[in-house]
Amino acid sequence: MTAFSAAILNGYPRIGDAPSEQVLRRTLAKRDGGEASDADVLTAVESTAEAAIREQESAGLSPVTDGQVAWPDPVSHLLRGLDGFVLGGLIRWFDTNTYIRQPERTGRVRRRGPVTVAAFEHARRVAGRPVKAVLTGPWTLASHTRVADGGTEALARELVPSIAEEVRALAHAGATQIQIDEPSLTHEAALPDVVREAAASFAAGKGPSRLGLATYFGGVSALVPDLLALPVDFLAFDLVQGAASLPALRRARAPMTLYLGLVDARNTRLEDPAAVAGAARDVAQATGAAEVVVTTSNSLEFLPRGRARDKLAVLAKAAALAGGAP
Amino acid sequence: MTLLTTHVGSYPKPPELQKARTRHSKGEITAERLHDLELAATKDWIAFQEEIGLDILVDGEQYRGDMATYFAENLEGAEVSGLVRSYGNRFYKKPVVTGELRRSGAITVDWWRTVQEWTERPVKGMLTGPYTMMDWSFDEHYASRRDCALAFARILRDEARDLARAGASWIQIDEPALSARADELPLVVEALGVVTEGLAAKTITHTCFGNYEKLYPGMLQLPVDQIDLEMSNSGLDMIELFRKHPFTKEIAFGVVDVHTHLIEPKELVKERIRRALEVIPPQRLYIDPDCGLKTRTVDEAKAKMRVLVEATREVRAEIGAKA
Repeated sequence: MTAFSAAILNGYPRIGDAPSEQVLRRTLAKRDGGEASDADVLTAVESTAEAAIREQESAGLSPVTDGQVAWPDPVSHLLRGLDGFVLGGLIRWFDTNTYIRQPERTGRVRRRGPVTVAAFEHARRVAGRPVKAVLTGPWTLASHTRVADGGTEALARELVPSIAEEVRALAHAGATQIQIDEPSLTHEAALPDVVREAAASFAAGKGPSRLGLATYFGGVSALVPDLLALPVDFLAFDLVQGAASLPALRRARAPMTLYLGLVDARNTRLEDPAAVAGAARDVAQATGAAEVVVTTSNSLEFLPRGRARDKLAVLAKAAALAGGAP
Repeated sequence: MTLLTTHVGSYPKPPELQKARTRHSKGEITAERLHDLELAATKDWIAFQEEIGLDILVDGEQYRGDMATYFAENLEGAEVSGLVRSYGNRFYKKPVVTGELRRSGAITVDWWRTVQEWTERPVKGMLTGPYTMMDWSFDEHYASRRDCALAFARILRDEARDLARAGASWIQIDEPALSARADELPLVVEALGVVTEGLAAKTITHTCFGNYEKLYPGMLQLPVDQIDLEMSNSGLDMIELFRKHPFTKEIAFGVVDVHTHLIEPKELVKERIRRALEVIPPQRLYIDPDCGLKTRTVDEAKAKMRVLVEATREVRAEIGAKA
């Protein structure tokens, strides 16, 4: 018997069309103009994160995330806490019309201190439900970095200890779930060894936290068996843009929780909750997964706030239907 | 004529126009008042471009918000979404395709005709390409990405022909989304081909901020005369690709980064032009910024363009070329 629930994968819109939903944007602009302080920005970040959490909770989702509302982008946010990089020009983030500052590796990688822990602790204080912490994984960070020598795999390996320290710090702060995002795996024909090594390293330091790995922006058909063998407690798959993964997933047995990204977080077209529920039940039955979380294909930040709220409702309704609700 | 200078498309809106757009969206000023301010700002940018000696001008897009949304605002079957983030603290609204796309009349021609009357120099007709319109829209209507892209292509074909009939001899069809999915290059070629086939004008496409290693040399199949590329933001790294596989079309080569407040020193811009000349003959080399300058302040944009034109002029003299 599979237990079904609903949650977002990671990010959530940090802006809406109502002026009250634009506090963070206004405060950042004021800081750029010297009219607001870093403390003002932190207050705005925290109120924006709290609003994102409230919207997830109101829809009935669990766990919730802080929406990653403080992250300038999925790469530079984490690297700003590490020595060994400078941030360069803008590059497109996968096939989205959003951008990241491309890091350049300039020296030895070393973690200066926690990057995401304070935001997690704030989210945990204000949330009425478990909070999932999210980190970008070493393969994706390395894949987006300009590396003069040694290549992506070597840099990813060098990043693992620093991210493992962040995992340990989040676990120590009480994170019940820690998700490592590795969208760059969708470009790989085989699972890089360093991803296995990283998962083992993170698992060793996670304590009682549940550790997961998420792939999105495409399919990972060839990687499914190896992903299912990783020492993680949950795996997340994009089954919209990565619908090609579905046959491989259906052929597998899943010893861990599955996050099934069946709701498109990149298009405003609303899904039929019954169809989503049917797809979730189908994968649950095929894989024997004891727990399935119906989720978004990727970050909801690609949608306008109003439609993101609509998608939360689809997630919740689909999970309820999958679980047998009338 | 060699080493001609041009611009990618947008210039920053002056603060009074930005405020007016906000006030208009709140219903505090009329569309006529906003239009007057857009005309005035456009006139200023045309005068500026003439003053610095730019060879091929743009209207600066003072009357456009986002480059894709502007067209969606003027099409049947399309709506405009709420705000979504682009990067950092920048947000924009996206088109939402809600029905069969239709153009009820020319969208850009009146503006082009008005602006061209103000100057003897050529002004580019500026369109956002069909693949980018599709990729940057939420599509709630069409069955596939191809169906949506080709629907936009048919509309943009008619718009491009209207521009050409009005006298536009340079028509740029921007495809910045091209760099996002190398696997869809054939669709970009197909859709852009619908727009440019038989078009009586020099055709250009602009793209930027992508992983060109996967797209080059395939992008040379794009059915246009000239490809306009962001080069400086990515450290001119495409030059090495051009050494391995020559760039066979005209190129507009970005020599100033549009995402930094810093004004490039003239010597740096000259060096970038000299690097370009190592792989592109001057007859096929146009000099411009990496991308539109709308995210810079008016002063920054002007300073960057002045450096660009002055640097080009000096390199022309070095190589004995004439503008």
